[in-house]
Amino acid sequence: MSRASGPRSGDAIFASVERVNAELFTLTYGAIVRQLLTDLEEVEEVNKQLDQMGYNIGIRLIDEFLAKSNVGRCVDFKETAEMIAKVGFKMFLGVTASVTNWDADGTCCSIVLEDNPLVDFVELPDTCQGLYYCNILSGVIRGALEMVSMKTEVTWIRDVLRGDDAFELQVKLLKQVPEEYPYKDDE
Amino acid sequence: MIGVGKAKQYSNVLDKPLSKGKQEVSLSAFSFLFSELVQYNQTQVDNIAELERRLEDAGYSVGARVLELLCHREKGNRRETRLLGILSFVHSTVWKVLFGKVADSLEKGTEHEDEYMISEKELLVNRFISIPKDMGTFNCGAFVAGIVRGVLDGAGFPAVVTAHFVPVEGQQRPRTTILIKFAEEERSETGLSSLHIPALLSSNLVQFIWSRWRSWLLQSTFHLLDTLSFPIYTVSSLTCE
Repeated sequence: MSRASGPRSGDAIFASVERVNAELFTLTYGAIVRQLLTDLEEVEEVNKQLDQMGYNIGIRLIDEFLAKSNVGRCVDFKETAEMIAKVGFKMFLGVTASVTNWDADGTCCSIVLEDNPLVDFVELPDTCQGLYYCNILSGVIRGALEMVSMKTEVTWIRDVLRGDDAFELQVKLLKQVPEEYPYKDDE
Repeated sequence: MIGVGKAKQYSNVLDKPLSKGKQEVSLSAFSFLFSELVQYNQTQVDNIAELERRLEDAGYSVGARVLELLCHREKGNRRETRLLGILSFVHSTVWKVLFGKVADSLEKGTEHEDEYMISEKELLVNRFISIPKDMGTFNCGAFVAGIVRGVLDGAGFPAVVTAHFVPVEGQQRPRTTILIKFAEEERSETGLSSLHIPALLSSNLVQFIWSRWRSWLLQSTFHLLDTLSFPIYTVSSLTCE
């Protein structure tokens, strides 16, 4: 692996990083959601907390993403979305996602997940119908993009646990924040 | 349509075929998630003991599910019924599936008969965690202790399980020892678990039914005819065994 070579593919990165059994991950996430449901009681509050946790992860995860993926600056939001779907999801969760449903001015798109390790063994009981079980993912994307100066809004469009046929996240670029901090950029 | 085929719909999660358990996610993804679990729980407690208890509770619910999953997938729907059997199941099978390796060691406590220890040089959950000085003996391994307790409890061996740092000579980082102290009734090596009980009970059961039958014989014929068919059937089926 040399630094000079261009961006690495999600598969190559995933193959080179340390990995753990997805079931440990799935069950641990389940334990978190269950704990939140017990503590917070309101499904809405749980959604919020999951999103917050995801955000916390996102703002740290972006460093690892940039360090390991060797990608340069994305020219536009389109490329950013592709990076998230093809490299981001692959290198952390080992799954691929696709980007679709672009709007006319290229600021809003959908990331569709075919496979989602968070939801193995999961079924939403009637009492939790309002729960966005995977809300942590939207938080991760929002947090990570915020660290590269993009304010976004991430919402769930489709959710297999709610009876849809896939997981679809809508990512909407709200604004590109001009870089004010001395972000270190060697080039 | 997007995702046809892969995201196949199942009306019930139980209809879905059980995965082989070969899927993986990156260690960082898990570590990020675990760190959120710890940080969230930190906001919910006033002291270390409470924090460990909450992590243990989270682990317990993982352990209970792991037991069910692994007994089904790895053990052909069989569950260990002996104390040493279930301990080695935790030490090898559970560890291997969850953490990718067999635990470093499984030892019996020297001071107390009912104590066992599983030790790990670098517990997966502690990989990226350093404990601030003011948090004393806090060990995130409490989560793993909870998993172990969940597995043991589900298998019919209730125990108190705790995680401790043990300094190792010549090593910077201490190892983590999961201390398992079995509840009083599990002291004997053969642990009376649910699967043994029918076998042990059967002789008592025969005696019991015989005594009941004798007392019925003393009662009115009418009553006897009413209830006779069942005990006789049971006795004969038991003696046939």
